[in-house]
Amino acid sequence: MIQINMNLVFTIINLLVLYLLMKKFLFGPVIHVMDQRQQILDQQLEEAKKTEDRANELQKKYENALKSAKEDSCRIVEKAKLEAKAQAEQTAQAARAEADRMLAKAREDISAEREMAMKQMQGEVGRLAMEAASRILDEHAGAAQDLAMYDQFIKKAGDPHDNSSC
Amino acid sequence: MGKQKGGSETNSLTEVLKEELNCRTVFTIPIGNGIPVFESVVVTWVIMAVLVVLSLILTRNLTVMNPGKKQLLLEAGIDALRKFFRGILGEEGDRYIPYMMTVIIFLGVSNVSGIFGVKPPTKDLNVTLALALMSMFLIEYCGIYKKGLKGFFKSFLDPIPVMLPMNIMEVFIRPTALCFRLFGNILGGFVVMALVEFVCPAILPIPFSLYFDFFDGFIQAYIFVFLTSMFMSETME
Repeated sequence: MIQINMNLVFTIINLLVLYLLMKKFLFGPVIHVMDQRQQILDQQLEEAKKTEDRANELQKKYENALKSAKEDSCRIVEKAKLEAKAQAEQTAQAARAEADRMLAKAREDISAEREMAMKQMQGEVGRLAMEAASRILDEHAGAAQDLAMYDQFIKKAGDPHDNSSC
Repeated sequence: MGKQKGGSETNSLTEVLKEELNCRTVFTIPIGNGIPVFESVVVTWVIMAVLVVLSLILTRNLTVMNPGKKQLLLEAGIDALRKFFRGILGEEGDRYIPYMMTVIIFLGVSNVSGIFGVKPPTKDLNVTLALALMSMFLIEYCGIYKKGLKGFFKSFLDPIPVMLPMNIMEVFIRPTALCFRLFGNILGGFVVMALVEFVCPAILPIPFSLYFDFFDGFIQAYIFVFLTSMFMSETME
């Protein structure tokens, strides 16, 4: 009924053949494909990591550059502001000084002119007085009278605004 | 009268069981006294052919990128088996994994082949004994490969030299246990199925068939390779 015979050997041969066939046609290709995919995935993962690192580095660099640029621009603006302020002040000061100078000059000119006019007038007046005096002397030859007349005249003509009345 | 009737039924049941237990000779190779080729071997050939054809169909158009549904399923299955064996055998057992996968696929298909109307090859003691002998050689081979011939023989004295006879017996007990466990389970399932079909040929056999043909079939295939790989990892330790 139950017997062990050559079929045992046949089965062993069958198993070995099946093993080789399965290895060749099923496990071999499938495992090869799976390993290949794993390899590609690993590679891509590594590449992605590398790219990310590089991107992070670049971002840091750009951020730094941006920060320094911002600082630079701030500094420049500040400097420009200071400069503009200083210049404006300088200009205003110069203008004020100029104005002061001009005013002083004008005053000086006016006073000088007035003095000159005064001197001229005094000379004129003196001359006129001498003339008048000589005329009076001619008429009343009295020294006292002469002197009094002169003084009076001077008093009258001393006021520049009144010299037209002479 | 009733006894007479029961007797005849018992006789025919015995006939059925005898027929189920017996392995039919399909043909005889005319060498010497003639070598009988059993049904189990022929069914194994058929299973091998089916497996190879299926493999060829399944592994057609494998792509590394964008695999199809068929390929994904195939890869998931093979990956699960690979992980299972790697978990037991460890990294150094990688070279034995294809054989173990072959055995589990062959056993799974064989044990279930009963539902296609053929006798499962694993119902023949020759087949299970062949499988067990292969397992035995593999177990001892991987021990020798790992430890070298000297280390392998030395391991028979572990943990103490008194255990030497036990260790030697173990070499033969392991495959015997594997062989008879598989054979007994499949044969037992087949006999129970025959009984059930004898009593009630309709409806009732369906749940029994689900259990004995599918569940038990896969469980036995699983146990066989599980124990073999356990013994292998034990020997490699």
